[in-house]
Amino acid sequence: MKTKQITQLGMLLSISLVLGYLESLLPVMAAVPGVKIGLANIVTMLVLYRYGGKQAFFIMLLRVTMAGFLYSGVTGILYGLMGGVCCLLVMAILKRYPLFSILGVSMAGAVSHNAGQIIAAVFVMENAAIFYYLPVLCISGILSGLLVGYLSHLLIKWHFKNFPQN
Amino acid sequence: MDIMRNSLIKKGDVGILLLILAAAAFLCVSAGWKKQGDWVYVTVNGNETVYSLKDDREISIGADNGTDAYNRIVIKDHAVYMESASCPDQICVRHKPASKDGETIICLPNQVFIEVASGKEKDIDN
Repeated sequence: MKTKQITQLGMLLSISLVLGYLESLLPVMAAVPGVKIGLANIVTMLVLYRYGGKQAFFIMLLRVTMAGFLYSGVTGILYGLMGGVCCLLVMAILKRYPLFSILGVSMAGAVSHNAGQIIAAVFVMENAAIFYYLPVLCISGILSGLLVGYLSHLLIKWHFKNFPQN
Repeated sequence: MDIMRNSLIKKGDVGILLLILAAAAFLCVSAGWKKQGDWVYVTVNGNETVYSLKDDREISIGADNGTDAYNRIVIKDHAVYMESASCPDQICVRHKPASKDGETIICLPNQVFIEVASGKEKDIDN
C-alpha cells in the first residue's frame, strides 16, 4: 500500500467516525433499537468502489472498533462487527455483478447489516425471539440503504471526476 | 424496461428489493399467526423466572441490587407491559403490551427480557 493511499484511507476513517458521531446527534427516529441511517457507511461505499474490498474491510473494522471504544462500549463493538462483516461480505459479492447498481448493493448491505446485528443479539441475549424485530429492520434497511446508496453514488461520481487516479 | 436503461436503478436492484420485502412479509405473517400466550418469562441478567399471564400482578426488578436501575413490569388483562424503567431510551416502556406466543419486550440497557409463551409451562422450579 502506497503512502498516499494510507494517508487517504486514514482521513476517510476519521471522516467516517465523525459521520457516525453526527448521526448519533440526530433525534431518535424510531422506537425500535437498531434503526438508523448508517451515514458512516457512505465512506465504506466510497472505499469499496474506489479502493477495493480489502481496504473497505479494514476501514470498517477500524471504524467499528474505534467507535465502540469512543461511544458504545464492548457490546457495541460485538454488534457492530457482526453487522459490519455481514454487510461488507454481501456488498463485496454483489458489487462484482453488473446486474446490481450501487443502490441495490447498498440496500442489500444495509439489510444484511441489520440481520447480522440481530444474529449477534440472539447470541448475546440467548433468545431467538429477537428475530421478530427483523421485518421492521428489513424495511428500515431498505430506506436507509437507498438513501446511503444514492448519497454514495453522488460522492463516488464526484470523487471519480476530481481524483481519477485516486 | 426502457426507463431503466438510462437510470441508476438496475433490474437486479428491484430483485433485491422484492426479495427483502418477501422475507419481511414472511416473517410478519409467521409472527401474526402466533396464538395467545399463557406464560410470561422474565429474564434478568440470564436468570429466568416464569409468571402466569392469567393472573394480574406487578413485578419489580432491581429495587434491591444497590444500583439505581429498575424495571416495573405489569401483567394485566392477559397482557404484559413495562410500566416504568430507569433506562435512558424508554423503548421498553413505549413498547405495546405483549400477549401472543413469542412476543417480547426488551430493555437492552438493563438487560431485562420479557417473553410470552404458550402451551404447557416449561419445567422451571417456581
